Amino acid sequence: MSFYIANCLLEIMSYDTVYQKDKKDCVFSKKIIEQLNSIVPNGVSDKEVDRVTYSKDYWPITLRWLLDGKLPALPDCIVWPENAQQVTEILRLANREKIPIVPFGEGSGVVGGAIPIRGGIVVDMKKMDSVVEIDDLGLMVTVQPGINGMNLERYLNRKGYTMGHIPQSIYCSSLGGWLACRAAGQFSTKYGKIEDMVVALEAVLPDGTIIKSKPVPRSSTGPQVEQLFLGSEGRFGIITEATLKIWPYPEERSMLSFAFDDVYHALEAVRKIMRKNVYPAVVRIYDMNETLRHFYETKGAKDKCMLILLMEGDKKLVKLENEISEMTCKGEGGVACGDEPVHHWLETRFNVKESSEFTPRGFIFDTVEVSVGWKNAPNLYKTVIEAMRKVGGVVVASGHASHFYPQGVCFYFTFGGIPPKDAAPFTFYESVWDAIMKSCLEEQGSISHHHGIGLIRAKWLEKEIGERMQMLKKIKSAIDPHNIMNPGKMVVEREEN
Amino acid sequence: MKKIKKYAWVMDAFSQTPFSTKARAMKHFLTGKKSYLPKKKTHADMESVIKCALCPNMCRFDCPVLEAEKNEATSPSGKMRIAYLIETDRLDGTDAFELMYKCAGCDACIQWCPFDFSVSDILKGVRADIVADNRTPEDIVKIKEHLEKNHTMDKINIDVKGSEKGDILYFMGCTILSEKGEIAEAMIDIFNTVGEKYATIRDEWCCGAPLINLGFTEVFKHFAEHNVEKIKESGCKTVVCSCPTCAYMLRQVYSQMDFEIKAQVLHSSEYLLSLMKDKKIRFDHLEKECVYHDPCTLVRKLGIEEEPRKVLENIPGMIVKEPYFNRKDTKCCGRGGSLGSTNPDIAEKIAQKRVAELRKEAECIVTACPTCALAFEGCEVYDISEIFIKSLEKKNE
Repeated sequence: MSFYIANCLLEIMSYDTVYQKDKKDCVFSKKIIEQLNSIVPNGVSDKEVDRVTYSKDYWPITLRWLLDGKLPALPDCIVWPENAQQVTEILRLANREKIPIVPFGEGSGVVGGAIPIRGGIVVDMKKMDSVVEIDDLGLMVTVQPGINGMNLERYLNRKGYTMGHIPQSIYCSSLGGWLACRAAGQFSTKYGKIEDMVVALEAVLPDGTIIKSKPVPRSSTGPQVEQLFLGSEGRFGIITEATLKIWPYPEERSMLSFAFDDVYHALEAVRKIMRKNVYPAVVRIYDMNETLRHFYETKGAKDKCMLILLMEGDKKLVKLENEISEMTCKGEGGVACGDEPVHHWLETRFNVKESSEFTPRGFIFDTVEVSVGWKNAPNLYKTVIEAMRKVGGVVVASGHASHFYPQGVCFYFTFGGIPPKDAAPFTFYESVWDAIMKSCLEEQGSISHHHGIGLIRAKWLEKEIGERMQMLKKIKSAIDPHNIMNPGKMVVEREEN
Repeated sequence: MKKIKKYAWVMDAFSQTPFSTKARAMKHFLTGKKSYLPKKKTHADMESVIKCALCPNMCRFDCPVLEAEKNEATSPSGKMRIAYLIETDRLDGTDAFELMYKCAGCDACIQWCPFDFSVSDILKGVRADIVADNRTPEDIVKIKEHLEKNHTMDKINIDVKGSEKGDILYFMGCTILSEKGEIAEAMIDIFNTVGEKYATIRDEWCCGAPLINLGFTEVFKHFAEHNVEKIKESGCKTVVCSCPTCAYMLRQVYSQMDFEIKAQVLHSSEYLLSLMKDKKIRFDHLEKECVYHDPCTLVRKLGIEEEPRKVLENIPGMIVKEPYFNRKDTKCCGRGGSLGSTNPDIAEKIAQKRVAELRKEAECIVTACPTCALAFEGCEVYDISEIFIKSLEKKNE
């Protein structure tokens, strides 16, 4: 059916499907295009230039493929629905014709989740980007999922609110993508991850049914099935609206930073802060390598591990949080470095340059985020760093901790290097990933904190969730018996065709 | 020293790496880039094309074309990825080439880019390569051919003529010549009121911005030569432009391309403010509430944001409101970067959005660019010079 039929995940990942100019005529049935056109007038494209564009997301290895002239996949067409009814009709058509559907936000996902590996229809949600309502009394905003993150936050700021969800990708990601991947922002320690912010959802199931929950704070009416869509990565249907928590824009901000002898003392300081029920919005601990990378100008940071803290909200509360955090950090041996490092972080936190600078030089790198309880946190950090370093070809292996809970922490690891002699780029890349995933599971961590499963983590999911995998597969086949929704991702099934 | 410190983490990582990896990494680091560059010589700065193509699209939220089109291909990095495939001969076809012209040239991208890239500047090189390869889309060629034949973007519809020589040369620009003659009339009234010895060019040619934008660098040179000669003949000490793009071209681009203009080049807002400072002019009360729209080229290319505000604020009775997105955060009118000519539908969508934004503040829009004024037609919209002269007219009644 599709231009490049990738029969299974392993196949696509081993031979890096190559885009072939001489086979560029679309074989996708013109009748399907006509039917889609009648559903979404002027909102369908099967132009080659669009199909090539929607062939990838921001999975780092695909950047290398772009330079090599390889495409991971090609969709047959792209549609841009403008309302939930159109989404319903598109899914009904796809369900009837058994055509793969890949929901698409802004393509900033880093695990290959939006790559249309089996072709089909990419449903780009960008035209559904309206803010439907702000409920000031209930502190909620109802929004369509295609809205860009920064545009949503700017809109809220202008009205005197914040959502407190500020991922590094805020400039280039959408609400729908956040929900589908259980995203986390840099201010998550105070405001939570995106799933903590969701009050209600509207979504379209593969058979076209629209489900919608009520915007009430809590409900004891059985399992909230709409929550299946959080982290579903487009496998269960398409989210068409969400109601989310918002907050009055903070009146005060306070910033602190400390240099610690090692990561472990810094972790201990933050654990104790959390234990006191104090939630700074931003908490970040950098290991020695990353401290050298980001705070080379900070006096007293050399050969140390930096901790930065940013508190925000009500003036009096911020003052109190500041005092408690400062006292706790000093108690754990932290040396105060003032607020300048935090300002530096604020100014540079969106400078995403590494992919652009290092990929053309033949380097392969990626970031991997995992979560772990406090009990196992020190060991997990140590084990993962060592495991990365052991893989031949790795040059950089570093980490920071960036999302904290009274129960534990998210570590964000970075690796970079070049494939050893005679090793294919993807083989090297996968070896480092395997080393990280394996170590994480050994240390009782969860293999993903907020990037999701996509393609790269799919083979590890069963090890992560065990018997729940069977349950997930049953739910998936009940909701989507023809497996049209984003096939080949997350819950990998034995293939049809 | 700062640069060494900046990359100390890389050196530190290398120091802990086995020699064989280190040697191979170093080889890749020094030579890797070349393997991804096209073999042929390009007008496009390919290193910038690649860097932009590999970015996660950090400026996308502020790109007016993407906002209007909602198509990944029209996003800044989306265009660069296709540009890379074109430049490396992996992709061709009209759709791909036409995509390269979907940019409003507003430079909103620069503000969010860690490399300070202007997507429109990078695209100019890509378009020049498309021209060099004779693959230019037909509609784009027509624009060039029209300019070669008529020397202005559209038919001239005004008959405003100054002397051939004067201290000040008023360079009108294509939009004023064809569509916004009222701005020229206001400027001429102002010159007359203050007793300025002004000149205009009898056969003024386009400043050449559309030619540069669309990749016709060689044709542009004839236009620059003509205008430089005419400016010289006028004997002027100062060139005044109402159009920020003309001002930018004459002030910066001409000299970058070795076409020297000895006279000082001012945008009309700078000139009008200087009149106020010299106290050559006095205003009467003008009861008017307006919102000021910053033109992209004026604020981002020329860095002029205070002058038009000061002019308006100095007019007694004038209430000047600011839109939410103002100064360098302004939003494009849609017609920049020749988008009004190449993709009028997209330009119209962008304009509608900006108008809605501006009208939240006031019904009357004031700007300092004839192209923006044209984009906002249908609303009550004035160029800064029209407001200026209105205030004077009231005094003279």
